[in-house]
Amino acid sequence: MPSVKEQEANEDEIRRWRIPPPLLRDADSPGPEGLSILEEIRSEVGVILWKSLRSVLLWAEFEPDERKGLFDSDAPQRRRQEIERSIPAAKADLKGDLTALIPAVERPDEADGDALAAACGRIATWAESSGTPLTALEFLQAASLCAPRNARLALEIGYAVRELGQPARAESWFQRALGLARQVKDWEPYVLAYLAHGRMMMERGAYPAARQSYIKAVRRAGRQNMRNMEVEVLHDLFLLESRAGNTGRALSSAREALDVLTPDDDRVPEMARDMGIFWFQTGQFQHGFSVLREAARRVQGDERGRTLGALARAAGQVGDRDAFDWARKELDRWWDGPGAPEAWADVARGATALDLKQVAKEAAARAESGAQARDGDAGELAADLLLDTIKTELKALEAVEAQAQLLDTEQQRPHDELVQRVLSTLGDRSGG
Amino acid sequence: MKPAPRPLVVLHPDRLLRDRLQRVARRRFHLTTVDDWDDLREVVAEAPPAAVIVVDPYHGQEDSDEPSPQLKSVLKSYPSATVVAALETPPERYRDLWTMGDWGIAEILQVDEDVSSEAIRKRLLSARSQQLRQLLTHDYGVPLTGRARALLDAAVDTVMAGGHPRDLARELDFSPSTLLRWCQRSQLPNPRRLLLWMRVLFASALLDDPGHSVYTVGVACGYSGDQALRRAIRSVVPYTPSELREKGAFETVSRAFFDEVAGLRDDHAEKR
Repeated sequence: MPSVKEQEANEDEIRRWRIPPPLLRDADSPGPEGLSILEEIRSEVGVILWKSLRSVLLWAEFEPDERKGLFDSDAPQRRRQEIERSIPAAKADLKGDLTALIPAVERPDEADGDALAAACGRIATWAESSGTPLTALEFLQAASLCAPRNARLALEIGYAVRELGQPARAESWFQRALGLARQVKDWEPYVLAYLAHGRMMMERGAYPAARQSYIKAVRRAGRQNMRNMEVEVLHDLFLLESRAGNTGRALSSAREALDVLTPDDDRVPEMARDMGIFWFQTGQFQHGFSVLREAARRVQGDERGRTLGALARAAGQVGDRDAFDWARKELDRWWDGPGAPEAWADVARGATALDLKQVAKEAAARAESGAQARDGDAGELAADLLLDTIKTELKALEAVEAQAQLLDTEQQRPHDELVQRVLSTLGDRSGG
Repeated sequence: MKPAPRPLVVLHPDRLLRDRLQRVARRRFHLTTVDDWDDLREVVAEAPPAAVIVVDPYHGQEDSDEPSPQLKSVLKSYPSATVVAALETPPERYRDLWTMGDWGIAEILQVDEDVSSEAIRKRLLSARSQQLRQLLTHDYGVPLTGRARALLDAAVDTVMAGGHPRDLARELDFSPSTLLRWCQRSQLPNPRRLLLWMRVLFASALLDDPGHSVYTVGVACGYSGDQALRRAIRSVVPYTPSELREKGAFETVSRAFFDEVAGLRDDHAEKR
């Protein structure tokens, strides 16, 4: 039992932070509340889901002492009969979960919000597995409104909405998640919500706001000893500072990430890859190349294509034909996944730097056809446009390289030290 | 500013529902009951702008169990009206429910479930804000943060209820100073100006409907008449209501609003 003082401190904490209202709907899709369910499930089952959702949302909108008499007294019995009649016996779990929502209608002033939230959550899981994401989202939102202190649910909704391509709505849920997490001191969703918010701000080009979110996330992750999350945020912070052109801050974030990472951590190769790209883009081609060469041997999965492309480009720039050929062949042999068109564009860049005109042409054609197949439009990866752009890029890289060569020994030292450290961390991994 | 009751036109045979709507209407709505689709058209055509229409979608469909095509026609004829379908919703009606949503109704009143005043009020109030919210989602190249979008939505609701900055703060459960801080952080105009913009945007949406006079639009938006509306419009864009009509009122005013928001944008701000 908390003391009066603790209780007051707790209440004070709750009062202090105002939580933004979440965006429950996409304003661009108006119409009756919850009707997206019937867009996905055009059947009697859909109507029962729709009605159940609306009852729960109505229930959640009112304070407990305002809920009495909210629904027609015959409504619970009618709902039971409809569930019995319309939900097939094969969907016994769904039947049970829909029945578990009836207390909101039957005894609105006594119904337990957590129990309703749990049933809504299970229905959302069922909907997700049935390939009806909008229905899943509706019930997740309802769950969050029934259990309004649950930060993890709010975070989950933010992710789901982001998947649907509604950034503002997703952001409102991330803001809510971190506000709730702060209130109840649930630090994992707090860090994850700041991380998600930081990423959205970075994509939008709002770097100071992104930095602020990352810093809050990394501080809290450090304080709570959440090493995994700390690394993830530091990696993002490094990418942010690289993009913003803050070399000193980027190096410092990378160093901090390496402090936390153990050599066998799965994220080491990807971190190394991004550091290699950073050195390449800042005109330190040899540093970039040596790190990318080691990283490319170790990065697997979806990120492998991008890494091989980056290596091909760097190898072209430093004139290492063997490494270029290896990267190109690996890409050809292994890779046909996400990022393939961009990777082939990088091969075209490397080939142009090596003056391999035919190879550059072929790689650009593969970039174009890949982008065409993926996006329906090659855009910037149209072969002719790409080859023209590459010539301009090469000139720009010469200027960046000239700038990098002006660094004096003192300025160069942190780069050299970090390169050694990355290479040695990669080398220390089990199996090299 | 005074809250102007919006016309609530009801075409529904259910006496109990009409009584419930009457109770809910009070100062928010001015209720008129009609007996058939022709009467409905006549009343809506003559009513002040931004009417809310509650209909039985099956009215006059003695030979068919599908929603009346008259409903579809009303939705098309009165784009500035908000149409709510009031019906029982047994599971077998799944096709009808979806069809009516597809036609563009704003909300459904489940007459077998939404029986309390609170439930009916909620459905009507959420329906009446939808149109302006949707109009404001047009992409003017000014991406709004989630927080800004939430404030904008709440501001729309406040204007629809004839509210002031303090009402907006109350709706969000904020103190006035927190609301001001949030507007700044979200890179939106201050609360007073934000509500002024929303009110003028609402008026401009109504001005785009040629059936409404400037005076009735002004009154519908809570102004004392056309002069007050002119002054309000002048404080945000350099046009008269007639000039706005010629240019496309909502398009012109919303572009000006988002230009002002773009001017407040600060990519260097640390708090968003």
